[in-house]
Amino acid sequence: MPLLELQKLTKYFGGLRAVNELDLSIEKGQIVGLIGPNGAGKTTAFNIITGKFRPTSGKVIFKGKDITGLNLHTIAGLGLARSFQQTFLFSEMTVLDNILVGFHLKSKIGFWNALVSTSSTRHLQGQLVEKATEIIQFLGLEHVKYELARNLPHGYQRLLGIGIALATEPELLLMDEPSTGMNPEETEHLLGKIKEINKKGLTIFLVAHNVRLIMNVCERVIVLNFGSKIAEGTPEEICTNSEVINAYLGSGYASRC
Amino acid sequence: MKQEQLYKIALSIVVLLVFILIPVFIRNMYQIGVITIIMVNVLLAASLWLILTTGQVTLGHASFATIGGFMSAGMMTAYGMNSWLSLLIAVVTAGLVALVLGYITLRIKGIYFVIATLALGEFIKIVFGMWEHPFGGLAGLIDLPPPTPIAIPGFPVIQFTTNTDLYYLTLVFVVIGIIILYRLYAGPIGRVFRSIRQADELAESVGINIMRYKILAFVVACMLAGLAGVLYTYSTKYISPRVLGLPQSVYYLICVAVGGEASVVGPILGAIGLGVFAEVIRPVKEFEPIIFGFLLIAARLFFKSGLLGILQKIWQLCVQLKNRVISEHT
Amino acid sequence: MGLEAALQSIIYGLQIGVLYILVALGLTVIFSMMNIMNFAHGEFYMLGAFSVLYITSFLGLNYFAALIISILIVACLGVILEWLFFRRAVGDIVGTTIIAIGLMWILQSSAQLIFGTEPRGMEEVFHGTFTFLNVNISASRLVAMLICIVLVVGVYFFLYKTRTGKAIQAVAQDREAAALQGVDINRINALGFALGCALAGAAGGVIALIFSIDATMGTEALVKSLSVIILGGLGSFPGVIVGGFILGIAESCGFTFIGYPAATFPFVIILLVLVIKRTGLMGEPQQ
Repeated sequence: MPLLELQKLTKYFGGLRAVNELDLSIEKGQIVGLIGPNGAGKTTAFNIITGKFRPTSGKVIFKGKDITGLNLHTIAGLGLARSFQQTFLFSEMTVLDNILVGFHLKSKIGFWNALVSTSSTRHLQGQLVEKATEIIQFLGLEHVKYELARNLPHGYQRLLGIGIALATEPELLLMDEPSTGMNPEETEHLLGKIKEINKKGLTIFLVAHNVRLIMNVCERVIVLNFGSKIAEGTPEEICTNSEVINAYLGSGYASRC
Repeated sequence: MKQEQLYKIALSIVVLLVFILIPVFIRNMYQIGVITIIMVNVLLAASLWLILTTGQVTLGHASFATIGGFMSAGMMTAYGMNSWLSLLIAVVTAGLVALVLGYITLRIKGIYFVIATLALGEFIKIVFGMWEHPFGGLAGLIDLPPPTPIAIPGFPVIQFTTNTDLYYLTLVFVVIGIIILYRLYAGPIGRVFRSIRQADELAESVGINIMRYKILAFVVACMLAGLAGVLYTYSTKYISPRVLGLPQSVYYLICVAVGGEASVVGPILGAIGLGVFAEVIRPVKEFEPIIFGFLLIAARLFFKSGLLGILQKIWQLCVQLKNRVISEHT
Repeated sequence: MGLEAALQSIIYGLQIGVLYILVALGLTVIFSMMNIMNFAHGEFYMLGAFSVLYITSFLGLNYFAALIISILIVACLGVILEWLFFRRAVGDIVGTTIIAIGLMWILQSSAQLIFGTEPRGMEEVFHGTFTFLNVNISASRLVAMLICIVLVVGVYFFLYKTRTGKAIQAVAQDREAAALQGVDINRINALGFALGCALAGAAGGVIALIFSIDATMGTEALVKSLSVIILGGLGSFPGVIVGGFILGIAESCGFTFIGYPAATFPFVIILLVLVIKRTGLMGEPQQ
């Protein structure tokens, strides 16, 4: 059973067709890439999968369950996490607190135990701080652990965004242009981290413009244009697909594959 | 961190003692009454603050105090009900109205919530003016009875006839309210509130049901506002549809803006500070609303962290000074 | 009761509806242009009313001159306040909301100080009653309605047929694109704000013909304007027209048939819209 399946997913915004009968499936443990020119519908597809938009028609199936139309927080609770193209962070909180918010679903917060703190709630809180520290160390943010998110340099902010998503302990992670604004060093570092978390068992579905990222990390690539899937295959196959080259890669890119 | 905690607890105890001892040193009943109302405003500003921590602005907070005040006064005068039962009904009613309104308006963009709460104020004013029978119509209710005396076997009966009695009753409830607000915000729920205010889409994507938490903040805050409304009527012995309206709702916002939003201490400082200031400028009290309006705008444009921020800066400067003095002598 | 009363109510409803359209239009212009919900809007309405009252009573000018002067006064005040306060906080939604609230309070309190809290009426300017199909409409109400219609049509022409008006619409739709096309954003902001306030002031000046005025009348006008624009759809100009008529007629019929409780209609409408379709009658379809 595939981990994530999209069946004839279609989305119209008024008269504008953003996604057109999109079919795809992702197996557990894979790293799959989604590429396409600007406006091809990649972020819209992500928004539909995570529950931000309802599709006009079609289904989203996660772990065999139809999750179409469920809302954002319910889907997050099922094990589907997301990092964003824009840098969304809890800007007035420290790096540590940012990650701790990500552990919300594991923290058993209730109205009454918020009013009165017991030893078991303190113990749980301690465990969560440990787990958060692990993620921080994994991403290489240990030295800015107590820094406010808005004071971080851009590359660290992008990593923090990924860290928050990781804190939900998801089975599938959607990453929307994770390397935006990163320099080549930071992108290289990110690449390594993506491979590491995939080895630990996390399935990854990522949108990227950075060809190098796609080629090095993804085992399969899906290409979107004007909301429709125009090609699917291994990175090498995509590179040599003439339709893809015409629509998107351009001969300049193709030579870089 | 632990030393800071100790300082905070010590400071709170000192402030509490001051308030407990005030009626011992101030005998003027009028002044006791004024301070009682200031305490009621503290509860109103602090409960409003809780709503602001989730990123929502409300212009109708005073209308929940109106609901509480009217329900309590109405039940007591029209049906001779015991004041403690009326209090319960008043607080529950405020909570239910908040629940319904919150459920409808908190699902969507914040501006609708502001508009709905503004319109609620007008609506409450009209609704409580409609019935002569429990609520006294447009003129309201006067000569309200005092709270029902408490008779615990083995103890002398606790009456609530003098201003001093009402002062202590108000103090007890306000302190309970502040403790609830403080514990709620200082714990993990406070972090959830902050996360909703700072990045609500991100909060939702990690599984936070933002509507549930916004409604939680709103309902708790409005129930406390209802309680404050009841306390208000105990002191003023009078309630009418116009008494706690838009100007008061804005006043509580000003208390928070001037006092600071970083913690529950901000609105407390703001309410006490502005309450005292209002008494000081009594000779020119016609200008009070204008001055306060300017204070609101100035606070927003120039002193975003409010009195609390200013005090914190002073504290930091003192600590730095202390450290420098210490290092210079070693 | 019955048919005659209903017809009378509907006519009154249409007449007050045009007034609601006028004042709500002002609020919409400012909101769609600058993303500022001007909570002080009702106060400009109130100032327009008092200005007309004082100019006709103390300066003895005729009503129309007083109206025009009042509109100009209110528009200038709007420009000054926009430049002083709002310009600093453009983009900060919580900030502009708080500033608008602060201004509302300052203006309303100053008015209470200066004008007192007692309601006053203007001396009757237009005399007589017209009867048409068994429906009575006083000359004052008729003139009020005509002035509102003229102004609303005038605004339509201004926004859709003049260069400045189209510039205002351009800024309302996409600031950055408009700026790139050479539109002076600051100037257009000031003009748009002035227009919004002018419309409010005009509506106030008109209402003084029919009802008595007091320093707190602005809040009621604000709540009704908000109800109209939410019903019609935030940011939609045709929506204001539809919403204004619906509120006017519903309210008028409500007062005739169920009395005082009809005053709750503005709030009830807001809640109903938010429950059923939050983008309003002419807004985009809900996501």
